[in-house]
Amino acid sequence: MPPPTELLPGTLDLLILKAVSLGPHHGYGVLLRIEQISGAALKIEQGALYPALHRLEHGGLLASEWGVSENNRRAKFYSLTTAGRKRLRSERDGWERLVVAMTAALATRPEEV
Amino acid sequence: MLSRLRALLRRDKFEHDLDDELRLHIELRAADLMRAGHSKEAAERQARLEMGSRERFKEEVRATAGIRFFDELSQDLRYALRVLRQSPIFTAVAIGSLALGIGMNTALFSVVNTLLIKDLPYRDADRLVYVTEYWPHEPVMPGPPSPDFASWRAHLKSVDGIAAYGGGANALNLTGEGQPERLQGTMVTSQLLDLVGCTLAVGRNFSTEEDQLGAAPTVILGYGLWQRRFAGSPDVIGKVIQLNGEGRTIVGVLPAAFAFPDNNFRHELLVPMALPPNPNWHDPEHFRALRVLVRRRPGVSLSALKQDLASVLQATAAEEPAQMVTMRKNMEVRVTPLRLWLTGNVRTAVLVLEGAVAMVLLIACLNIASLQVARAIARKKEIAVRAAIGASGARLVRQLLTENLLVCGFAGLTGLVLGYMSLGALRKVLPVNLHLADTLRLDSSVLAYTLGITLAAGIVTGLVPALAALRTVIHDALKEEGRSTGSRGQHRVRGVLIIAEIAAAMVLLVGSSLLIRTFLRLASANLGFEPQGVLTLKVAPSPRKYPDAAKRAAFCKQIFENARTIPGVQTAAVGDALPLVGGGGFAGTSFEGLPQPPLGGRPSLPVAFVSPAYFQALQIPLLRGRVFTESDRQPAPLVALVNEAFSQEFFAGNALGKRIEVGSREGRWREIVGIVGNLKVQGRGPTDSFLVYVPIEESFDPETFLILKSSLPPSGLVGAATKAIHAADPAQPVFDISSMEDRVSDSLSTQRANMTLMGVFAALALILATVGIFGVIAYFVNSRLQEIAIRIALGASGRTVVGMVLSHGMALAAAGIAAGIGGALILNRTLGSLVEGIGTNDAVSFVAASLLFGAVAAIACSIPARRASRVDPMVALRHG
Repeated sequence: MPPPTELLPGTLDLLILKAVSLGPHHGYGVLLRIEQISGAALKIEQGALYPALHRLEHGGLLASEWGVSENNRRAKFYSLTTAGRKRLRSERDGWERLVVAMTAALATRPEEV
Repeated sequence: MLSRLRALLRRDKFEHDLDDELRLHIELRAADLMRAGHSKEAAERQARLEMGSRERFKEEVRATAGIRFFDELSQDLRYALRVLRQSPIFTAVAIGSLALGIGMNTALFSVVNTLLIKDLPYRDADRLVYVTEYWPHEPVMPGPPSPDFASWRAHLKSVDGIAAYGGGANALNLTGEGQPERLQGTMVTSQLLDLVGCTLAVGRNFSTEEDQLGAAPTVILGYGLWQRRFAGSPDVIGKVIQLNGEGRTIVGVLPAAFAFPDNNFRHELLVPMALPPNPNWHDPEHFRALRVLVRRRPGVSLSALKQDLASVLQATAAEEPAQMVTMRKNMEVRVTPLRLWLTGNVRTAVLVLEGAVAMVLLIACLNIASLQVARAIARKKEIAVRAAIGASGARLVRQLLTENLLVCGFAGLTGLVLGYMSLGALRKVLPVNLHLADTLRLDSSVLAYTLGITLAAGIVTGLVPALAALRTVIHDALKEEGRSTGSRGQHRVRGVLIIAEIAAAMVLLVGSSLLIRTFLRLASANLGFEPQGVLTLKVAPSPRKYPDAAKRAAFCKQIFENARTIPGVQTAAVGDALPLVGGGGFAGTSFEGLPQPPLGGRPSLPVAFVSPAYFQALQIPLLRGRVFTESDRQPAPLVALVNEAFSQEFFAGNALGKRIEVGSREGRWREIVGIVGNLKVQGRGPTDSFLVYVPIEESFDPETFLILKSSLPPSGLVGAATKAIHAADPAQPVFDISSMEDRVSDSLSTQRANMTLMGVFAALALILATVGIFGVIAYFVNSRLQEIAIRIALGASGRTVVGMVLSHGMALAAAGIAAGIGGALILNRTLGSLVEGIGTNDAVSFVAASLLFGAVAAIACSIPARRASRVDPMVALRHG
């Protein structure tokens, strides 16, 4: 397994939104889910996760609810709001365009210029 | 801001939730790690490590939740408190001087608020207008005559209320149960209390019927009298009391808070004016000079009101007798809004004083700003370190502002207390004879004002130095070695601040020395009489008991004979007028040999009725001829004395032996047998340039002063003098007892109050500015210690060093003094309204203020200068 890649700036929010869109999670769950869906290729800086969660919640993209975790503890579960869903869509479109453009750019050979 | 506040309020819950969330994370992670084969301890440790600094998370999470603002604020506050505690002297000086400034501003503003801003305590006060008449040929006419009032009451269209009061002697003798008492009352028309919206404490207002000629006599008691004589019993309504020997039925009692603000309005009791239904010019018995108050209809302008008043009089002018037509030629009706009427004479003084305290506060602020600039430089390192470890510029400015706002907050609170405490003193010292002064208080608008100036002071004292410091500090602090002298720019800022401060203090000093000079000039002026050792008491034989001049004269003679035998009394006299107090009367005067002017065309001149010893008792000098003698009574020929001014004006100085007729027009010529000196009381009381003296036996004035000249202190004679009067008539109230010296002193109370207040403000300004100079020079010396040390090491003498420091300080002082003189010259006219008789360009005042300031500045500079001269070069160079 190749060593995990550092996140590009700005991508953490997108990953969190994506992770939460697959079902409500508490913070640790979000972390695990991201690792899972990225095939453990992306390393989440734990110190960045919680501020990001709170920022998204504060921005109205995530909603939260207190519930009980698998180990029977009080846990805060995050879920996607409508605004969050919209944001996820637009960010994903943007990301896909970026990836296409980056791929095309990086695949360019000298004679094509 | 609101969400921030909510975040703050939710803060505990928030912290708790966050802890839960993070703890869960660690537990779950540890559990996963254990599943992967770690031991429990290792797993927990690993989980914690991965989490990193929990506090840092929390900090970031909090920042997103909007809590940081308050965290930083409380950090700033804690830090500011620490900084302020570290420099207690600076803090004490800053808080103390600002508190003084804020306190005085608060107190003075409460005066401005009461007199000039707050609603007057009368209904529709904004529409109440005083109506007066100005007769160019009779400038002493005391008020519109009753026929005019009657015409207005019947015909005015632009008012919805009109009332009158005054109109004659308003003192009444209350006799019957208890001590006889002289009461100050006022005649009013029945509309007056309704016009000003006064609701009686007990009983009712006069009815229209009771306010008619011939109605049964009634009276309304003042609250104080009611409490004093009737123990506040509501049963007084319907009771009959004896006033001037006449029974009057009590119909009502004025409320305690009722204060009609006119000095001429005495509200110990009110009696109906009872004008005849159609007062006319041919009924002299009911002819009165009134004070007239009207309420404009809404939307009526002052000029429209004036027009209406004048045209009503034009319509009724045909009824006027010929003599009135002559006297009232070119008459002008004048209208004055109530507030202006009440405050006209103190308005300017109050505004000037308000300006003065504003200047004191400004000086205090500049002082602290200048000290802060100095401190900011001293704190350069600290600020630079904070900047280097990540504090933003805004954060640093906020920190410095927080410090200053904290100082100002403390100062504001202290100032509020000071202001409150000085209200009482201000009430006494204010040149306000108004009842309004009693209503001075710290109400919500005063509090808002205090809050406003406190914030403004905080921003002025904080922002300027903070920005100035920041600009230089961030750029060069870390490069330097911490022995910086401050940039040239900052020296300039401090220089300008200190010059402004000195200039402001100079303006106040010049103003106050002008006032002191005015006061001294008035106080030392020759008054034309000698007040020392003179006691004066007033009696008023009631017209019922003493119906004619002969009876009154006999009574006065009795008093005067009794008083003469009091041990220690050198001279006893009676007279109906006193210097500085006034009294006496006015009488049309004819001159023998000149054509007799038409009725009403004679000059109306002041007349005083006095006994022979009057001139000796008051030491009014006899210039020519003789004073009255005991034999100057009928059937002896009529005589008069005149003063020097009279003699100059009408007889080119040769009045002696000439004959005049006073009052009557029946050819009762009286010879001028003596000329006495003028009274010189201008600006201090009623002034009569011309004065005719007539023997007391002819007096028609019921009020008379007993005047006792003694070698003993006048206060010791009061008992014996009262006894002498009661020996003549035990039912006779004695009142208005005062030594002549006290009357002289009272006559200067306005000037004294202005002088005292301005003097206090100027002294404070001087002290504050001195502290300012001292601070700047001390800082100057500190920042140049190295340079001074080098100079000394190279052989400069102590004197050279002192000279260097002094010249720096004195240059600043000189610039400030020059700017202050300029400012005082500009403010000339405003100051002029407070001083009488001394030009506002009075060189003595300017020179005295400049010298005083120069001397104080020199002392303030000399302390740091001496320290500079004692610098040990080795120590300074090693530690500088």
